[in-house]
Amino acid sequence: MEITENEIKHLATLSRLNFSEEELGKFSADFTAILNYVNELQKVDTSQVKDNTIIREFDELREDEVKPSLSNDDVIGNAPKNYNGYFVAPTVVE
Amino acid sequence: MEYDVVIGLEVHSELKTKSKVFCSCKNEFKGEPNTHCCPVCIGLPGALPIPNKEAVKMTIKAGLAVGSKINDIAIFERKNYFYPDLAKAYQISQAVRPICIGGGVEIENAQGQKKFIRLNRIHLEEDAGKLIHNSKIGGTMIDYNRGGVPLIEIVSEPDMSSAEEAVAYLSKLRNILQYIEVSDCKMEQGSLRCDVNISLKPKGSNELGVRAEMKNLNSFRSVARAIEYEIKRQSRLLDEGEQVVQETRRWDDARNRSFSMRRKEDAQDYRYFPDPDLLPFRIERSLVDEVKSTMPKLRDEKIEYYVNELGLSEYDAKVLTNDLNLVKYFDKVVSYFNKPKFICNFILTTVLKKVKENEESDDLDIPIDPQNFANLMQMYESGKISQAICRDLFDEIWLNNADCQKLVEERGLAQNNNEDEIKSMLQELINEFPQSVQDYKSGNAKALSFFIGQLMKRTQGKANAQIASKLIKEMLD
Repeated sequence: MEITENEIKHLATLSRLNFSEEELGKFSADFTAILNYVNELQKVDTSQVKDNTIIREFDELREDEVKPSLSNDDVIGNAPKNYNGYFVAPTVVE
Repeated sequence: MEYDVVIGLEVHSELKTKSKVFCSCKNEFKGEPNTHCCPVCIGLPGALPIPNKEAVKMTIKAGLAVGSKINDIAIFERKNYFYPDLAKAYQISQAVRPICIGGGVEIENAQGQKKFIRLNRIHLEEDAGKLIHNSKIGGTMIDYNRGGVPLIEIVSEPDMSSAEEAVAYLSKLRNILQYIEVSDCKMEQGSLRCDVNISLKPKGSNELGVRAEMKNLNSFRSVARAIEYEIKRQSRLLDEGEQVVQETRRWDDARNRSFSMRRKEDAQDYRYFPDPDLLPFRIERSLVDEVKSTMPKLRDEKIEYYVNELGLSEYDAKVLTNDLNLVKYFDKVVSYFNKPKFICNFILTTVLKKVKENEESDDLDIPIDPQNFANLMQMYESGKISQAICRDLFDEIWLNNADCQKLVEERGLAQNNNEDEIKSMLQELINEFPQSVQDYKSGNAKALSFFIGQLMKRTQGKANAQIASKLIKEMLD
Protein backbone atom coordinates (compact mmCIF):
# COMPACT_ATOMS: atom_id res chain seq x y z
CA MET A 1 0.00 0.00 0.00
CA GLU A 2 1.40 3.35 -0.99
CA ILE A 3 0.89 6.68 0.69
CA THR A 4 1.42 9.20 -2.08
CA GLU A 5 2.97 12.62 -1.78
CA ASN A 6 -0.45 14.07 -2.48
CA GLU A 7 -1.90 12.30 0.55
CA ILE A 8 0.95 13.63 2.68
CA LYS A 9 0.18 17.11 1.34
CA HIS A 10 -3.49 16.71 2.28
CA LEU A 11 -2.59 15.61 5.82
CA ALA A 12 -0.15 18.51 6.10
CA THR A 13 -2.85 20.99 5.09
CA LEU A 14 -5.24 19.56 7.69
CA SER A 15 -2.53 19.97 10.33
CA ARG A 16 -1.54 23.45 9.13
CA LEU A 17 1.96 22.21 8.35
CA ASN A 18 4.23 23.03 5.44
CA PHE A 19 6.65 20.48 4.01
CA SER A 20 9.40 20.88 1.44
CA GLU A 21 9.46 18.65 -1.65
CA GLU A 22 12.24 16.66 -0.04
CA GLU A 23 10.23 16.14 3.17
CA LEU A 24 7.16 15.10 1.19
CA GLY A 25 9.17 12.37 -0.51
CA LYS A 26 10.64 11.20 2.78
CA PHE A 27 7.29 11.11 4.60
CA SER A 28 5.69 9.30 1.71
CA ALA A 29 8.38 6.58 1.86
CA ASP A 30 8.18 6.35 5.70
CA PHE A 31 4.38 6.14 5.82
CA THR A 32 4.35 3.54 3.06
CA ALA A 33 6.90 1.45 4.96
CA ILE A 34 4.85 1.65 8.17
CA LEU A 35 1.65 0.59 6.42
CA ASN A 36 3.46 -2.23 4.65
CA TYR A 37 4.62 -3.48 8.03
CA VAL A 38 1.05 -3.38 9.30
CA ASN A 39 0.02 -5.28 6.17
CA GLU A 40 2.48 -8.00 7.13
CA LEU A 41 0.82 -8.25 10.55
CA GLN A 42 -2.59 -8.52 8.88
CA LYS A 43 -1.45 -11.80 7.32
CA VAL A 44 -1.22 -13.56 10.69
CA ASP A 45 -4.05 -16.05 11.04
CA THR A 46 -6.02 -14.93 14.11
CA SER A 47 -9.18 -16.91 13.40
CA GLN A 48 -8.52 -19.14 16.44
CA VAL A 49 -7.74 -16.25 18.80
CA LYS A 50 -10.49 -15.24 21.22
CA ASP A 51 -11.70 -11.64 20.96
CA ASN A 52 -9.87 -9.80 23.72
CA THR A 53 -11.52 -6.41 23.40
CA ILE A 54 -11.70 -5.02 26.91
CA ILE A 55 -14.97 -3.40 27.80
CA ARG A 56 -15.16 -1.09 30.73
CA GLU A 57 -18.04 -1.50 33.15
CA PHE A 58 -20.02 1.60 34.06
CA ASP A 59 -18.91 1.30 37.70
CA GLU A 60 -15.32 1.84 36.61
CA LEU A 61 -16.10 5.33 35.29
CA ARG A 62 -15.52 8.48 37.32
CA GLU A 63 -17.89 9.94 39.93
CA ASP A 64 -19.04 13.49 39.15
CA GLU A 65 -16.81 15.20 41.70
CA VAL A 66 -14.89 18.46 41.39
CA LYS A 67 -11.22 18.31 42.32
CA PRO A 68 -8.75 21.20 42.34
CA SER A 69 -7.51 22.34 38.93
CA LEU A 70 -4.06 23.64 38.12
CA SER A 71 -3.23 27.26 38.92
CA ASN A 72 -3.44 29.67 36.01
CA ASP A 73 0.35 30.09 36.18
CA ASP A 74 0.84 26.35 35.78
CA VAL A 75 -1.72 26.17 32.97
CA ILE A 76 -0.22 28.89 30.78
CA GLY A 77 3.34 28.71 32.11
CA ASN A 78 4.66 26.66 29.19
CA ALA A 79 2.84 28.62 26.51
CA PRO A 80 5.15 30.48 24.10
CA LYS A 81 2.86 33.48 24.43
CA ASN A 82 0.21 34.49 26.94
CA TYR A 83 -1.80 37.56 27.81
CA ASN A 84 -3.92 38.32 30.90
CA GLY A 85 -4.30 34.66 31.80
CA TYR A 86 -5.10 33.59 28.24
CA PHE A 87 -3.04 31.49 25.88
CA VAL A 88 -2.21 33.43 22.75
CA ALA A 89 -2.00 31.57 19.46
CA PRO A 90 -1.51 32.78 15.90
CA THR A 91 -4.91 33.67 14.48
CA VAL A 92 -6.28 30.89 12.31
CA VAL A 93 -9.33 32.19 10.52
CA GLU A 94 -11.74 29.47 9.56
CA MET B 1 -39.81 27.20 -10.01
CA GLU B 2 -41.28 25.77 -6.84
CA TYR B 3 -39.09 23.86 -4.42
CA ASP B 4 -39.41 21.59 -1.43
CA VAL B 5 -37.25 22.72 1.46
CA VAL B 6 -35.36 20.03 3.37
CA ILE B 7 -33.96 20.94 6.80
CA GLY B 8 -32.05 18.96 9.40
CA LEU B 9 -30.68 20.29 12.68
CA GLU B 10 -27.64 19.48 14.78
CA VAL B 11 -28.28 20.72 18.27
CA HIS B 12 -25.52 20.96 20.86
CA SER B 13 -26.40 21.24 24.49
CA GLU B 14 -24.02 21.54 27.45
CA LEU B 15 -24.81 19.18 30.31
CA LYS B 16 -24.96 20.66 33.79
CA THR B 17 -22.75 18.21 35.61
CA LYS B 18 -20.57 19.44 38.47
CA SER B 19 -17.31 18.44 36.81
CA LYS B 20 -16.12 18.15 33.22
CA VAL B 21 -16.71 15.08 31.09
CA PHE B 22 -13.26 13.46 31.18
CA CYS B 23 -11.60 15.16 34.18
CA SER B 24 -12.48 16.57 37.61
CA CYS B 25 -12.21 20.27 36.73
CA LYS B 26 -15.22 22.40 37.56
CA ASN B 27 -17.90 22.75 34.89
CA GLU B 28 -18.70 26.44 35.17
CA PHE B 29 -19.63 29.13 32.69
CA LYS B 30 -17.92 32.00 34.46
CA GLY B 31 -14.53 32.17 36.11
CA GLU B 32 -11.16 33.74 35.36
CA PRO B 33 -9.67 32.38 32.10
CA ASN B 34 -7.79 29.07 32.29
CA THR B 35 -8.53 28.41 35.95
CA HIS B 36 -10.68 25.28 35.51
CA CYS B 37 -8.01 23.39 33.65
CA CYS B 38 -5.82 20.33 34.23
CA PRO B 39 -3.49 18.12 32.18
CA VAL B 40 -6.49 16.23 30.72
CA CYS B 41 -8.46 19.19 29.40
CA ILE B 42 -5.47 21.14 28.11
CA GLY B 43 -4.19 18.02 26.40
CA LEU B 44 -0.83 17.55 28.10
CA PRO B 45 0.95 14.38 26.97
CA GLY B 46 0.30 11.31 29.09
CA ALA B 47 -2.90 12.59 30.69
CA LEU B 48 -5.64 9.98 30.97
CA PRO B 49 -9.29 10.92 30.42
CA ILE B 50 -11.94 8.99 32.40
CA PRO B 51 -15.64 9.44 31.52
CA ASN B 52 -17.95 11.11 34.03
CA LYS B 53 -20.77 8.78 35.15
CA GLU B 54 -23.25 11.62 35.53
CA ALA B 55 -22.61 12.88 31.98
CA VAL B 56 -23.32 9.38 30.65
CA LYS B 57 -26.50 9.16 32.76
CA MET B 58 -27.69 12.57 31.55
CA THR B 59 -27.14 11.52 27.94
CA ILE B 60 -29.18 8.37 28.57
CA LYS B 61 -31.87 10.52 30.20
CA ALA B 62 -32.01 12.80 27.15
CA GLY B 63 -32.28 9.72 24.95
CA LEU B 64 -35.10 8.22 27.01
CA ALA B 65 -36.99 11.53 26.94
CA VAL B 66 -37.09 11.48 23.13
CA GLY B 67 -37.63 7.74 22.72
CA SER B 68 -34.11 6.79 21.59
CA LYS B 69 -32.76 3.28 21.83
CA ILE B 70 -29.84 3.13 24.28
CA ASN B 71 -26.83 1.19 22.96
CA ASP B 72 -25.54 -1.54 25.29
CA ILE B 73 -21.95 -0.71 24.42
CA ALA B 74 -20.78 2.78 23.52
CA ILE B 75 -17.46 3.92 22.10
CA PHE B 76 -15.59 7.22 22.30
CA GLU B 77 -13.67 8.21 19.20
CA ARG B 78 -11.23 10.93 18.27
CA LYS B 79 -12.43 13.53 15.81
CA ASN B 80 -9.24 15.00 14.45
CA TYR B 81 -9.01 18.61 13.47
CA PHE B 82 -6.42 21.28 13.93
CA TYR B 83 -7.80 24.46 15.41
CA PRO B 84 -6.69 26.23 18.60
CA ASP B 85 -10.02 25.73 20.40
CA LEU B 86 -8.83 22.19 21.08
CA ALA B 87 -5.42 21.81 22.67
CA LYS B 88 -5.14 18.12 21.73
CA ALA B 89 -5.85 18.68 17.99
CA TYR B 90 -8.75 16.25 18.37
CA GLN B 91 -12.12 16.28 20.07
CA ILE B 92 -13.28 13.23 21.99
CA SER B 93 -16.63 12.43 20.44
CA GLN B 94 -18.66 9.43 19.29
CA ALA B 95 -19.17 8.15 15.77
CA VAL B 96 -20.03 4.50 15.12
CA ARG B 97 -21.54 3.66 18.53
CA PRO B 98 -23.08 6.69 20.21
CA ILE B 99 -25.00 6.32 23.49
CA CYS B 100 -28.43 6.92 21.91
CA ILE B 101 -29.83 5.88 18.54
CA GLY B 102 -33.05 7.03 16.87
CA GLY B 103 -36.10 8.48 18.58
CA GLY B 104 -37.97 11.63 17.69
CA VAL B 105 -40.12 14.51 18.87
CA GLU B 106 -43.55 15.69 17.86
CA ILE B 107 -43.96 19.33 16.91
CA GLU B 108 -47.06 21.39 16.34
CA ASN B 109 -47.35 24.30 13.92
CA ALA B 110 -49.40 27.46 14.43
CA GLN B 111 -52.43 25.77 12.86
CA GLY B 112 -52.20 22.96 15.41
CA GLN B 113 -51.03 20.38 12.86
CA LYS B 114 -48.71 17.76 14.30
CA LYS B 115 -45.56 16.40 12.70
CA PHE B 116 -43.05 13.85 13.91
CA ILE B 117 -39.39 14.79 13.52
CA ARG B 118 -37.14 11.73 13.64
CA LEU B 119 -33.80 11.76 15.38
CA ASN B 120 -30.74 10.05 14.05
CA ARG B 121 -28.74 9.90 17.29
CA ILE B 122 -27.59 11.61 20.46
CA HIS B 123 -23.93 11.37 21.30
CA LEU B 124 -21.71 12.62 24.11
CA GLU B 125 -18.59 14.67 23.45
CA GLU B 126 -16.41 17.37 24.96
CA ASP B 127 -16.90 21.07 24.35
CA ALA B 128 -14.04 23.14 22.92
CA GLY B 129 -12.29 26.15 24.43
CA LYS B 130 -13.31 29.73 23.80
CA LEU B 131 -11.39 31.87 21.30
CA ILE B 132 -11.23 35.63 21.30
CA HIS B 133 -9.58 37.13 18.25
CA ASN B 134 -7.63 40.18 19.30
CA SER B 135 -5.98 42.23 16.58
CA LYS B 136 -4.38 44.52 19.16
CA ILE B 137 -2.14 41.78 20.46
CA GLY B 138 -1.87 40.21 17.02
CA GLY B 139 -3.26 36.80 17.86
CA THR B 140 -6.07 34.74 19.28
CA MET B 141 -6.66 34.55 23.02
CA ILE B 142 -7.69 31.12 24.26
CA ASP B 143 -9.59 30.16 27.41
CA TYR B 144 -9.84 26.39 27.99
CA ASN B 145 -12.31 26.61 30.91
CA ARG B 146 -15.06 25.46 28.54
CA GLY B 147 -12.83 22.81 26.97
CA GLY B 148 -13.94 19.42 28.25
CA VAL B 149 -17.39 20.54 29.39
CA PRO B 150 -19.81 17.69 28.58
CA LEU B 151 -21.80 18.34 25.45
CA ILE B 152 -24.49 16.26 23.79
CA GLU B 153 -25.12 16.53 20.10
CA ILE B 154 -28.64 15.74 18.97
CA VAL B 155 -28.82 15.03 15.27
CA SER B 156 -32.20 15.10 13.55
CA GLU B 157 -33.19 13.49 10.28
CA PRO B 158 -33.89 16.02 7.49
CA ASP B 159 -37.58 16.02 8.36
CA MET B 160 -38.31 19.76 8.59
CA SER B 161 -39.49 21.86 5.70
CA SER B 162 -39.69 25.45 6.94
CA ALA B 163 -38.15 27.94 9.35
CA GLU B 164 -41.28 27.67 11.44
CA GLU B 165 -40.89 23.90 11.83
CA ALA B 166 -37.19 24.21 12.65
CA VAL B 167 -37.92 26.74 15.39
CA ALA B 168 -40.78 24.58 16.73
CA TYR B 169 -38.45 21.58 16.83
CA LEU B 170 -35.67 23.52 18.55
CA SER B 171 -38.03 24.95 21.10
CA LYS B 172 -39.52 21.53 21.82
CA LEU B 173 -36.04 20.05 22.30
CA ARG B 174 -35.07 22.88 24.61
CA ASN B 175 -38.23 22.37 26.58
CA ILE B 176 -37.52 18.64 27.00
CA LEU B 177 -33.86 19.14 27.98
CA GLN B 178 -34.84 21.76 30.54
CA TYR B 179 -37.60 19.59 32.00
CA ILE B 180 -35.37 16.60 32.52
CA GLU B 181 -32.81 19.01 34.03
CA VAL B 182 -29.79 17.97 32.03
CA SER B 183 -29.07 21.42 30.56
CA ASP B 184 -29.84 25.10 31.15
CA CYS B 185 -30.28 25.54 27.41
CA LYS B 186 -29.35 29.20 27.31
CA MET B 187 -28.70 30.11 23.70
CA GLU B 188 -27.07 33.42 24.53
CA GLN B 189 -24.57 31.82 26.86
CA GLY B 190 -23.98 29.06 24.37
CA SER B 191 -25.29 26.17 26.47
CA LEU B 192 -27.67 25.47 23.58
CA ARG B 193 -26.32 25.82 20.04
CA CYS B 194 -27.68 24.85 16.71
CA ASP B 195 -26.35 24.19 13.20
CA VAL B 196 -28.81 23.97 10.34
CA ASN B 197 -28.44 21.83 7.21
CA ILE B 198 -30.62 22.99 4.39
CA SER B 199 -31.20 22.02 0.78
CA LEU B 200 -33.84 22.52 -1.90
CA LYS B 201 -35.26 20.10 -4.44
CA PRO B 202 -37.83 20.56 -7.20
CA LYS B 203 -41.31 20.20 -5.74
CA GLY B 204 -42.28 16.54 -5.44
CA SER B 205 -38.86 15.22 -6.41
CA ASN B 206 -37.38 12.33 -4.42
CA GLU B 207 -33.80 13.29 -5.02
CA LEU B 208 -32.16 15.41 -2.34
CA GLY B 209 -30.44 18.62 -3.45
CA VAL B 210 -27.00 19.85 -2.46
CA ARG B 211 -26.99 21.15 1.08
CA ALA B 212 -25.36 24.04 2.86
CA GLU B 213 -24.61 24.02 6.57
CA MET B 214 -25.34 27.19 8.55
CA LYS B 215 -23.36 28.00 11.69
CA ASN B 216 -23.29 30.69 14.34
CA LEU B 217 -27.00 30.80 15.11
CA ASN B 218 -27.35 32.27 18.59
CA SER B 219 -31.06 32.75 18.99
CA PHE B 220 -34.35 31.33 17.78
CA ARG B 221 -34.76 34.47 15.75
CA SER B 222 -31.45 34.03 13.96
CA VAL B 223 -32.29 30.38 13.21
CA ALA B 224 -35.50 31.52 11.52
CA ARG B 225 -33.86 34.40 9.68
CA ALA B 226 -30.90 32.31 8.51
CA ILE B 227 -33.25 29.67 7.09
CA GLU B 228 -35.39 32.25 5.29
CA TYR B 229 -32.26 33.81 3.86
CA GLU B 230 -30.84 30.46 2.74
CA ILE B 231 -34.10 29.39 1.06
CA LYS B 232 -34.04 32.61 -0.96
CA ARG B 233 -30.36 32.30 -1.80
CA GLN B 234 -30.59 28.70 -2.97
CA SER B 235 -33.80 29.15 -4.96
CA ARG B 236 -32.33 32.17 -6.73
CA LEU B 237 -29.27 30.09 -7.71
CA LEU B 238 -31.41 27.19 -8.92
CA ASP B 239 -33.81 29.48 -10.80
CA GLU B 240 -30.86 30.93 -12.66
CA GLY B 241 -29.70 27.45 -13.60
CA GLU B 242 -26.70 27.58 -11.31
CA GLN B 243 -25.49 24.96 -8.83
CA VAL B 244 -25.67 25.11 -5.07
CA VAL B 245 -22.22 24.24 -3.74
CA GLN B 246 -21.83 22.06 -0.68
CA GLU B 247 -20.34 24.36 1.90
CA THR B 248 -20.40 25.67 5.43
CA ARG B 249 -21.78 29.17 5.84
CA ARG B 250 -21.52 31.52 8.76
CA TRP B 251 -24.59 33.55 9.71
CA ASP B 252 -23.99 37.23 10.44
CA ASP B 253 -26.93 38.40 12.51
CA ALA B 254 -26.04 42.08 12.36
CA ARG B 255 -25.87 42.12 8.57
CA ASN B 256 -28.74 39.68 8.19
CA ARG B 257 -26.91 37.50 5.70
CA SER B 258 -24.55 34.54 5.60
CA PHE B 259 -21.02 34.15 4.30
CA SER B 260 -19.21 31.13 2.94
CA MET B 261 -16.76 29.68 5.46
CA ARG B 262 -15.42 26.66 3.63
CA ARG B 263 -16.22 24.68 0.54
CA LYS B 264 -16.45 20.94 0.08
CA GLU B 265 -13.01 20.81 -1.55
CA ASP B 266 -11.43 21.94 1.69
CA ALA B 267 -13.98 20.14 3.81
CA GLN B 268 -12.68 18.75 7.03
CA ASP B 269 -11.58 15.17 6.95
CA TYR B 270 -11.97 14.19 10.59
CA ARG B 271 -10.29 10.77 10.44
CA TYR B 272 -12.32 9.31 13.31
CA PHE B 273 -10.85 6.36 15.16
CA PRO B 274 -11.57 4.76 18.56
CA ASP B 275 -9.79 6.71 21.29
CA PRO B 276 -7.14 4.33 22.66
CA ASP B 277 -7.24 6.17 26.01
CA LEU B 278 -10.92 5.34 26.46
CA LEU B 279 -12.16 1.78 26.32
CA PRO B 280 -15.62 0.95 25.00
CA PHE B 281 -17.98 0.93 27.97
CA ARG B 282 -21.04 -1.07 28.86
CA ILE B 283 -24.47 0.35 29.55
CA GLU B 284 -26.41 -2.32 31.44
CA ARG B 285 -30.19 -2.51 31.21
CA SER B 286 -30.31 -1.92 34.98
CA LEU B 287 -28.57 1.43 34.55
CA VAL B 288 -31.08 2.49 31.91
CA ASP B 289 -33.92 1.46 34.28
CA GLU B 290 -32.32 3.42 37.10
CA VAL B 291 -32.15 6.56 34.94
CA LYS B 292 -35.73 5.99 33.83
CA SER B 293 -36.88 6.02 37.45
CA THR B 294 -35.44 9.53 37.93
CA MET B 295 -37.36 11.10 35.04
CA PRO B 296 -39.35 14.13 36.23
CA LYS B 297 -42.82 15.04 35.08
CA LEU B 298 -42.74 16.14 31.50
CA ARG B 299 -44.63 19.14 30.24
CA ASP B 300 -47.83 17.32 29.33
CA GLU B 301 -48.21 15.96 32.85
CA LYS B 302 -47.54 19.39 34.30
CA ILE B 303 -50.24 20.93 32.10
CA GLU B 304 -52.68 18.31 33.35
CA TYR B 305 -51.77 19.13 36.95
CA TYR B 306 -52.22 22.87 36.45
CA VAL B 307 -55.60 22.43 34.78
CA ASN B 308 -57.04 19.76 37.06
CA GLU B 309 -55.52 20.66 40.42
CA LEU B 310 -54.91 24.41 40.24
CA GLY B 311 -57.83 25.33 37.99
CA LEU B 312 -55.84 27.15 35.31
CA SER B 313 -57.24 27.24 31.80
CA GLU B 314 -55.60 24.89 29.32
CA TYR B 315 -54.33 27.83 27.28
CA ASP B 316 -52.74 29.48 30.32
CA ALA B 317 -51.19 26.19 31.44
CA LYS B 318 -49.64 25.74 27.99
CA VAL B 319 -48.12 29.21 27.91
CA LEU B 320 -46.83 28.87 31.45
CA THR B 321 -45.22 25.48 30.85
CA ASN B 322 -43.50 26.57 27.67
CA ASP B 323 -40.44 27.41 29.72
CA LEU B 324 -39.25 25.44 32.72
CA ASN B 325 -37.78 28.51 34.41
CA LEU B 326 -41.22 30.04 34.40
CA VAL B 327 -42.75 26.84 35.79
CA LYS B 328 -40.26 26.73 38.64
CA TYR B 329 -40.82 30.40 39.43
CA PHE B 330 -44.59 30.06 39.35
CA ASP B 331 -44.52 26.97 41.60
CA LYS B 332 -42.36 28.81 44.15
CA VAL B 333 -44.56 31.90 44.19
CA VAL B 334 -47.68 29.75 44.58
CA SER B 335 -46.02 27.93 47.49
CA TYR B 336 -45.80 31.30 49.30
CA PHE B 337 -49.18 32.65 48.26
CA ASN B 338 -51.73 30.09 47.22
CA LYS B 339 -53.76 31.96 44.58
CA PRO B 340 -52.56 30.21 41.40
CA LYS B 341 -55.09 31.72 39.00
CA PHE B 342 -54.48 35.25 40.20
CA ILE B 343 -50.70 34.85 40.03
CA CYS B 344 -50.85 33.14 36.65
CA ASN B 345 -52.85 36.04 35.19
CA PHE B 346 -50.32 38.57 36.38
CA ILE B 347 -47.37 36.50 35.14
CA LEU B 348 -48.85 35.88 31.70
CA THR B 349 -49.63 39.53 31.16
CA THR B 350 -47.36 41.89 33.03
CA VAL B 351 -44.35 39.65 33.66
CA LEU B 352 -44.13 38.11 30.20
CA LYS B 353 -44.52 41.52 28.61
CA LYS B 354 -41.57 42.67 30.64
CA VAL B 355 -39.51 39.66 29.64
CA LYS B 356 -40.28 40.25 25.98
CA GLU B 357 -39.07 43.85 26.15
CA ASN B 358 -35.63 42.30 26.05
CA GLU B 359 -36.16 40.77 22.63
CA GLU B 360 -32.55 39.85 22.06
CA SER B 361 -32.85 37.13 24.64
CA ASP B 362 -34.63 33.77 24.41
CA ASP B 363 -33.70 33.06 27.99
CA LEU B 364 -36.30 33.67 30.62
CA ASP B 365 -34.92 35.11 33.84
CA ILE B 366 -37.10 36.83 36.41
CA PRO B 367 -34.89 38.93 38.68
CA ILE B 368 -37.45 39.33 41.49
CA ASP B 369 -37.13 36.99 44.45
CA PRO B 370 -40.20 34.66 44.44
CA GLN B 371 -41.07 35.47 48.08
CA ASN B 372 -40.97 39.21 47.32
CA PHE B 373 -43.11 38.69 44.24
CA ALA B 374 -45.58 36.61 46.28
CA ASN B 375 -45.82 39.50 48.79
CA LEU B 376 -46.57 41.92 45.97
CA MET B 377 -49.30 39.63 44.66
CA GLN B 378 -50.73 39.26 48.15
CA MET B 379 -50.96 43.05 48.66
CA TYR B 380 -52.55 43.51 45.26
CA GLU B 381 -55.01 40.66 45.62
CA SER B 382 -56.15 41.78 49.08
CA GLY B 383 -56.72 45.34 47.87
CA LYS B 384 -54.00 46.78 50.06
CA ILE B 385 -52.43 48.37 46.99
CA SER B 386 -54.11 49.52 43.79
CA GLN B 387 -53.41 48.08 40.36
CA ALA B 388 -51.51 51.21 39.36
CA ILE B 389 -49.27 51.04 42.44
CA CYS B 390 -48.77 47.30 41.92
CA ARG B 391 -47.51 47.89 38.37
CA ASP B 392 -45.20 50.70 39.48
CA LEU B 393 -43.78 48.59 42.28
CA PHE B 394 -43.35 45.66 39.94
CA ASP B 395 -41.34 47.81 37.51
CA GLU B 396 -39.20 49.06 40.35
CA ILE B 397 -38.43 45.79 42.08
CA TRP B 398 -37.73 44.19 38.68
CA LEU B 399 -34.70 46.46 38.62
CA ASN B 400 -33.57 46.33 42.24
CA ASN B 401 -35.50 43.50 43.95
CA ALA B 402 -36.22 45.84 46.90
CA ASP B 403 -38.60 44.56 49.58
CA CYS B 404 -42.00 45.63 48.24
CA GLN B 405 -43.73 45.52 51.65
CA LYS B 406 -41.18 47.95 53.05
CA LEU B 407 -41.60 50.26 50.06
CA VAL B 408 -45.37 50.38 50.62
CA GLU B 409 -44.91 51.26 54.30
CA GLU B 410 -42.12 53.78 53.85
CA ARG B 411 -43.88 55.64 51.07
CA GLY B 412 -47.40 55.22 52.37
CA LEU B 413 -48.55 53.58 49.17
CA ALA B 414 -51.41 51.64 50.70
CA GLN B 415 -54.60 51.95 48.72
CA ASN B 416 -57.31 54.26 49.97
CA ASN B 417 -60.49 52.19 50.23
CA ASN B 418 -62.38 54.76 52.29
CA GLU B 419 -65.62 55.54 50.42
CA ASP B 420 -66.29 58.82 52.22
CA GLU B 421 -62.84 60.22 51.46
CA ILE B 422 -63.00 59.17 47.84
CA LYS B 423 -66.46 60.63 47.55
CA SER B 424 -65.40 64.04 48.83
CA MET B 425 -62.42 64.11 46.50
CA LEU B 426 -64.68 63.26 43.58
CA GLN B 427 -67.07 66.02 44.63
CA GLU B 428 -64.19 68.49 44.44
CA LEU B 429 -63.41 67.35 40.91
CA ILE B 430 -67.05 67.61 39.86
CA ASN B 431 -67.10 71.21 41.06
CA GLU B 432 -63.85 71.97 39.28
CA PHE B 433 -64.72 70.47 35.91
CA PRO B 434 -68.33 71.28 35.07
CA GLN B 435 -67.59 70.87 31.36
CA SER B 436 -66.78 67.18 31.83
CA VAL B 437 -69.97 66.73 33.84
CA GLN B 438 -71.82 68.22 30.87
CA ASP B 439 -69.98 65.89 28.49
CA TYR B 440 -71.05 62.88 30.49
CA LYS B 441 -74.66 64.04 30.70
CA SER B 442 -74.75 64.50 26.94
CA GLY B 443 -73.74 60.87 26.48
CA ASN B 444 -69.93 60.87 26.44
CA ALA B 445 -69.05 57.93 28.68
CA LYS B 446 -65.36 58.72 28.36
CA ALA B 447 -65.83 61.62 30.73
CA LEU B 448 -65.99 59.08 33.55
CA SER B 449 -62.44 57.92 32.89
CA PHE B 450 -61.37 61.56 32.91
CA PHE B 451 -62.54 61.88 36.51
CA ILE B 452 -60.89 58.62 37.54
CA GLY B 453 -57.68 59.74 35.86
CA GLN B 454 -57.71 63.06 37.70
CA LEU B 455 -58.42 61.31 40.98
CA MET B 456 -55.49 58.96 40.48
CA LYS B 457 -53.24 61.86 39.63
CA ARG B 458 -54.13 63.64 42.84
CA THR B 459 -53.74 60.55 45.00
CA GLN B 460 -50.62 59.28 43.22
CA GLY B 461 -52.53 56.17 42.22
CA LYS B 462 -53.59 55.30 45.74
CA ALA B 463 -57.36 55.60 45.42
CA ASN B 464 -59.24 52.35 44.92
CA ALA B 465 -60.23 52.61 41.27
CA GLN B 466 -63.11 50.17 41.54
CA ILE B 467 -64.73 52.05 44.38
CA ALA B 468 -64.14 55.34 42.60
CA SER B 469 -65.75 54.12 39.35
CA LYS B 470 -68.81 52.94 41.23
CA LEU B 471 -69.08 56.24 43.14
CA ILE B 472 -68.61 58.64 40.25
CA LYS B 473 -71.37 56.90 38.31
CA GLU B 474 -73.72 57.13 41.26
CA MET B 475 -72.85 60.79 41.77
CA LEU B 476 -73.37 61.86 38.18
CA ASP B 477 -76.39 59.73 37.31
